[in-house]
Amino acid sequence: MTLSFLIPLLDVTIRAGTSLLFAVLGETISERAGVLNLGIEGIMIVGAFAGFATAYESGSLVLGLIAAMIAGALLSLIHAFLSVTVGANQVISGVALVAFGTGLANLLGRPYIGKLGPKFSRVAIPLLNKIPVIGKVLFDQDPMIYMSFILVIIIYLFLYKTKYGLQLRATGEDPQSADAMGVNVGKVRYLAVIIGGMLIGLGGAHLSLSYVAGWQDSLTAGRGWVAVALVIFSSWNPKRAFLACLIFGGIEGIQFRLQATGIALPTYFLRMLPYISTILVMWFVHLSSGTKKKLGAPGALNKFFDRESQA
Amino acid sequence: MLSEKIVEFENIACEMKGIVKDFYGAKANDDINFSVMRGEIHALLGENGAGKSTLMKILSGVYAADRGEIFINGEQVKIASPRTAIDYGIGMVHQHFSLVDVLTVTNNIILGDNSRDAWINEKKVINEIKNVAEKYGLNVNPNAYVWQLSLGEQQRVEILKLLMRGADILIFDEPTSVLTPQEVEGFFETLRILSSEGKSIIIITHKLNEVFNIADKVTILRKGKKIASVYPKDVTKHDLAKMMVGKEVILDIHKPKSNPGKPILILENISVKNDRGILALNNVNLDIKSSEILGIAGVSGNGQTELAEVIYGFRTPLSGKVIINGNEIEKFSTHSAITFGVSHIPEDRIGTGLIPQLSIKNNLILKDYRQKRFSGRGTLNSKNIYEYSMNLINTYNIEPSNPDKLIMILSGGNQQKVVLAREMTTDHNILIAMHPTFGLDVAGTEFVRQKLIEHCSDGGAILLISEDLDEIMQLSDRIAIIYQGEIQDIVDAQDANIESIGLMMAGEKA
Amino acid sequence: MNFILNRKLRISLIRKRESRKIIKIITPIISLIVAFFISVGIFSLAGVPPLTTIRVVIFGAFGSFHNFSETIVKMIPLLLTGLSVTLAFKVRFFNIGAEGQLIFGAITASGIALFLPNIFPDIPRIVLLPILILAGMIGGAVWILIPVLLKSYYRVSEVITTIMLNYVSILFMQYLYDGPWKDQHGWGFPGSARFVESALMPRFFGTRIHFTIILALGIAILLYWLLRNSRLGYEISVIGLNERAAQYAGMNTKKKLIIVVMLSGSIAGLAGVGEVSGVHCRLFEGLIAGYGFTATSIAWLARLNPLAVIPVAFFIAALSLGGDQLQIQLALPVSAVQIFIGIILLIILAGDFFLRYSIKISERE
Repeated sequence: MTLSFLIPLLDVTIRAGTSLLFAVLGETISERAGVLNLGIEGIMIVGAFAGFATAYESGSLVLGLIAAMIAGALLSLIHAFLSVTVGANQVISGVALVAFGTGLANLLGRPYIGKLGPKFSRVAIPLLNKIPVIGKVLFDQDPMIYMSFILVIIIYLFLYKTKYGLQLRATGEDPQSADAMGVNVGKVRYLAVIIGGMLIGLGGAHLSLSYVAGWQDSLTAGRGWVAVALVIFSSWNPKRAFLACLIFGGIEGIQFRLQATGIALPTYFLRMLPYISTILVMWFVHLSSGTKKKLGAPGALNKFFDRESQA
Repeated sequence: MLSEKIVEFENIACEMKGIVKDFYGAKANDDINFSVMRGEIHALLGENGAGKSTLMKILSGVYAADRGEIFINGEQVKIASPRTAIDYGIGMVHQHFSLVDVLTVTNNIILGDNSRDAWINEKKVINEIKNVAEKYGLNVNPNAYVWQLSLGEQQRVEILKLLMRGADILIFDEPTSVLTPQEVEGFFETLRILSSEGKSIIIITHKLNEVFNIADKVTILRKGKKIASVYPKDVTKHDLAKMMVGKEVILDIHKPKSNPGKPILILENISVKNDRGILALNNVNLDIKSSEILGIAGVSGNGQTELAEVIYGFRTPLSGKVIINGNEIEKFSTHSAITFGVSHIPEDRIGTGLIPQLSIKNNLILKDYRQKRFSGRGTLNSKNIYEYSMNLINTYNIEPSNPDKLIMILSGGNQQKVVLAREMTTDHNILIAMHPTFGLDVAGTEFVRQKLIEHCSDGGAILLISEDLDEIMQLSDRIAIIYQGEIQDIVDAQDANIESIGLMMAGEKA
Repeated sequence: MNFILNRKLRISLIRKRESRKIIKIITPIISLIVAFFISVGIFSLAGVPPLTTIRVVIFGAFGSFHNFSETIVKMIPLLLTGLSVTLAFKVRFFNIGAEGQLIFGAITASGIALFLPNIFPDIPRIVLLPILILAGMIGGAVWILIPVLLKSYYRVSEVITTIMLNYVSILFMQYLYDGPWKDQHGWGFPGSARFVESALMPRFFGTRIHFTIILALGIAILLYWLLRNSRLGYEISVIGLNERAAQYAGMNTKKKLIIVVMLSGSIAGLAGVGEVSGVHCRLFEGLIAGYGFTATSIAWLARLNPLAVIPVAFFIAALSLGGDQLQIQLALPVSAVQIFIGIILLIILAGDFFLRYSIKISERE
């Protein structure tokens, strides 16, 4: 493989993986607090739409990002209310959000199809971008990508080195105990779901403001569901999330490169790659770990907490 | 005398007045007044379901009272959550420990103390733990994960946690149930040090001995009502028992001497791993004869669960044989265990033994639903199911007596009766009874024990696993003591001595 | 939970163990109505006046005999996928992939319909149709086999795998009618060649209502009976409510789960057969209609009662047909109906709040 093939491939890998990375980080926070938010696909697409529409109308990328975060927060708030306060079925609630979000974004997005809006452009980081191969791939990217790198580090430090991260993990692991130790389980869960939703919204915005740079029907195309699988693949760990998203960005990259080289395989099969890989990855993860505990899943994931109903 | 009273009044640490708490229409606490002095060890005595835990959960902010007032150091307070309780210096060690298994001891202690810095400084905390642990004799490894610790060690972590966040009122819910008799002594020693420092201790118990061993004062609850607060020195064991149960009780069940016959169940060199992949049973050899109750004594978590699981087919052993009536079990599945005639009263009746969302009758046929009389040609025979259920409901006095009622509205005692009725009626060779009276009141306990004894007299073979040493001593013909997955010894119940059993439960070979 | 209103009154939320039947019936109905009005509100945000939406939807679904018959046509796949999801949910298998199974069932049936008559040109309808139906049901069952095996042997979440397979089945179908099964005379029409006459379902009353409706209603009644009165139904309820207790009762939970879920897949597969052989007469892009989510909401709305799935499917069919009219007349996207589906589900879930708690207003002493 020559560098002229490799560098564009790695470049696409990073760029395609970024929206996933935001979403996976967001979902990791939510699931670490014990709330399974399957609405990613819907939150992402609404974030993508809100980001694009706002940036298009205002001309400001920053406003676009803020809008995407607000949209993500609002949709997640619905999920937080249903799963934390009502104690509804979290799987169904997530599915409902996907249906609602997809429909809403497609409906409101109609007028924006095919419009050219502002988009993030590459900002090279001086010196670092001169490193062979890696410099071009990692340090000549758009600001959102740098932001995602920093978020990985921040979230990792938050989860494992601070008291609040400890409280979050305890809430997802064993809410009864966390509650008895004075942690406000409801508050932690609401915050985690909402902040997670903001990050997921940003993931959508990276699609509409950078990677695809524009609006089209069903823009996210199942990326949200892939993200759900990647959270499991990365064992709910932000550092591993980075690697997992690279792998999936790579799969998308390979798909494009192969399409570009005109290989005889029909495009339909190439486009199946991410979905089939997701299934394979899930199988592989469970094959290699066996029990839920070893998988690293938070102990109280998808479990409703009600202080007074404990046995 | 008069001066003594005044001093005490000034030293009230906490007072609860007119506490009412309603659960689904049943009064768990009915107008209860309760107070505890500074430096006092106060026992809260009552049988299961008397409302002791509820009252203390209200004090520690887990439950909100429907009515009533709480005063801490003379000031009225509102305790809305465990957080506020902690802020008022109240800490409770629940029966189910409030520790996060997958975190280390140190992390659990940081978690329990909100006053700590946002940025975690583990070294500093570890040093503090070591200091406090040494002072109160609460030895534990700060770097261990909680799941690696024995229940006794976990209890020490709980106490450390309360002390390190400066709790002044410490509440313990049935603290000795997870300890060996020797560990109990150490625990009481710690309590005495704490009370001498002016801390108030409330200990929830239903064991009369403990009241006399440790308590300065005792408050008795019965069916949600306060019966009395008395000084142990002024009363006899008999008085307390009467106040607790509300009638004269004979505390001993008489078990007639049985005549064991041929061996029904034989375990040969059974070894098995637990869910974490650690060896849970190591070369266990046991046999149970007809007309015999074999009791397993041990602190919970020493392999009892896995023992029951192997016999019942939930778990496949690494090595060894299970032989029932002379036939070796080859395939370990619950289905084959049932065909071999193993009946099982599981430890968690709601999680395993019953389906709360289904009716009484649908729970009664859980084992036998495949039989022709209940589902001939794949169709449920509702008439036969109904008649069969009515029959069992009457024999076992299950309340309510309507087989269509859901299990979840039954009391714990009646739920256990449903399990008992099913497991004793289905065709079987051996019965595994795990914690059969856990959480039941005196009447329920008596009923279950009586049924087990009758069953044994009728020729049944019973494996009795219980953490309640009194129960083991009372019902068993022979007692096997288990420690870390190994059978320490098997003794005849008649010559059994509680001290030596206690030592073996702690791993000291006699 | 307590909220204090003022000094005199307080509202307490009391957790209930059992809720009254009337509330169980009323909440879905109120949820539907509320969801409808919220959706109308959202459409008005997108520039469609509320009254227009209501008029178009109601006329679209019931305005004429033709429109009403089309509502029934639309109801058939919704009823079948709704039943499929209901059955799977009963064993706690969250099958969100009804669309994938429908499409794969349609693909296998289409394979038979397109090629079997080439080998046996004179094959009569009475022979061909049952083969078609069987092929479609097997197709649906096979398509769900992957998720259910992964779930029962490796504990892989079926939510993700079934959804992933939706995408895969769509792409596979597109590949087929765009490639090997391309309609040579179709001028780029997104579908396969038309089936021969003998591969088409009989239709009734000169409408497009096809024979599958009878099968669908039969399956609804059969499932209702099966879940209530059969040994398998008993096992299903035990496995679905408490898997550990099912093992304790000596049930082979893995095997039972696989059987029940494959049944579920085959019902969705049958929906696919009905669509290609009864409605479109070919493998066709129109099969992609978000059945996975719609079926989920139908099952949930019907509270997993197979008989209740019938009216709910009818109602949702009326709405989607109305939605189609919105799309045609007012140029709203197909997925606009998804908004409504999403809102219904969210509101139903929020409505559970009232099933779980009763509200008591009491005077404070």
